[in-house]
Amino acid sequence: MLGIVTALFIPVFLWSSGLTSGTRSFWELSGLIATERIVLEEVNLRHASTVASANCTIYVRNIGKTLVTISDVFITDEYSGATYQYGTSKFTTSDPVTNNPITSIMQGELMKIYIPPGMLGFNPATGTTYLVKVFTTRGVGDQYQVKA
Amino acid sequence: MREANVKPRFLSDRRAVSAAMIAFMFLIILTFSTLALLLSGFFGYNLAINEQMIIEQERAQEKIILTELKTKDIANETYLIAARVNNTGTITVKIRAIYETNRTMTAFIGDPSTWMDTYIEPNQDLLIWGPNYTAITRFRPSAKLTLVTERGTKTSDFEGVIVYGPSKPPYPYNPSKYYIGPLELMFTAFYYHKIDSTTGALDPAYNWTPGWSISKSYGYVAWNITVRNIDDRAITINGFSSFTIVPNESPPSDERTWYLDTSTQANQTLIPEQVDHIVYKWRVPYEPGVSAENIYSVSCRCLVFLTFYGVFHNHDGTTTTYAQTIPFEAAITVI
Repeated sequence: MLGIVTALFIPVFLWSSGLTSGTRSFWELSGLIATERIVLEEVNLRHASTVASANCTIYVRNIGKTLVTISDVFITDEYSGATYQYGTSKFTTSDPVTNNPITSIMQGELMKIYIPPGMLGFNPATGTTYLVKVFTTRGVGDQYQVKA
Repeated sequence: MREANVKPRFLSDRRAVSAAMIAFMFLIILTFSTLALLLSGFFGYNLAINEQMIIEQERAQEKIILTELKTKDIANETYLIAARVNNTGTITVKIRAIYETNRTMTAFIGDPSTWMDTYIEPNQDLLIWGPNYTAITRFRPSAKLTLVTERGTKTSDFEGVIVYGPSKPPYPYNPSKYYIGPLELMFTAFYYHKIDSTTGALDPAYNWTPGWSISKSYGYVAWNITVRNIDDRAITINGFSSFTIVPNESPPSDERTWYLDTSTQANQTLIPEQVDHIVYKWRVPYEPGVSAENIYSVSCRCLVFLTFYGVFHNHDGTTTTYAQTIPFEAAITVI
């Protein structure tokens, strides 16, 4: 009888522990997202002589408790509505003080995101307003309006 | 004989009770361990929410103002060597970044906390020097200097305004030498209306709405102001006349200008003593193919400046060039 009871409880235990760990992971992830907060401090996006030489620099500060890794940048031309998306392969991230490459920032730290010439894909028009959005790997983001 | 029959049955029942007890204990252990795991996860989440609320509260208490820039001439060039920041908030701040925005670019100058203590107590100020008391940057009056705290709160101003102070009227003041503008603004009649971005046509689904506050991302709008020409001459204003809003905070970082609607008539003439509506729609002076201007997609408070260009129609038939700027008495709010 003891063996039967134990055997019957094994699948119940497996199911409940899986469910529990799933729920716990959800709470933990929600907690990480809740304390993940970035601010775009400044954006340098100006008209260049050619499309190939146009570039963009974004300064992002982590003001939350969670370690932040940037995954995507979106730039929207507010005049034409065109949106440009940049994944991690299209930009570099570095510490603006030391210029050393970094992939993530802790609370209070600053990161420089640089979309180099050739990767921007458009030439910002002088006087046009662009909306720059930056998102972390967990989908937390911030935005900044800049006039080229 | 009877005892011998009872004993095995009793032993069998004990096994049954024991199995039930074990099952029950399994259940209890499982339930409590599950609850403990769930509660630990939930409490962790609750703690994270509280931490984030504290961060937001602290950030809301931050306010800093750039009040002074010290300059020094080095080798025939003027440099900024120090910036004074006042902490007018209710929490200690730490200055973590200095940026300069000029006509060609926005550049990160440095993190002053790496070369000096940049904590500022509430109601105190701090003079932030360049590294090793050298220059922060070259002085450019038209450039904008921005300082940012560790929590992302910013203060910025034009270097020239801080160093020289805001422009003042010449002294001594002589009213006879000042021309008072001929357009009287009716502050109570100020409206906006949703329009088509390309044709500028008023969207019939909307009405003219009082312009003191407007929803963010409202889209393309026309502004309608009411003025009276209090001069004794007629005035014709042209398509360069504009309505400009300047945000008090950043973001947004840009001012926006709506130009006079000259899509149906080349100019607009304002008759003396007559109340007229002036409508602004376009993002550049109107010509076929231009687009209307839209409102910000973020909340902010804005100052409004009206700029008029045109001519006076003198009584002798000649015309005199006319230009006037009216700073609005109050700000509009994008909510």
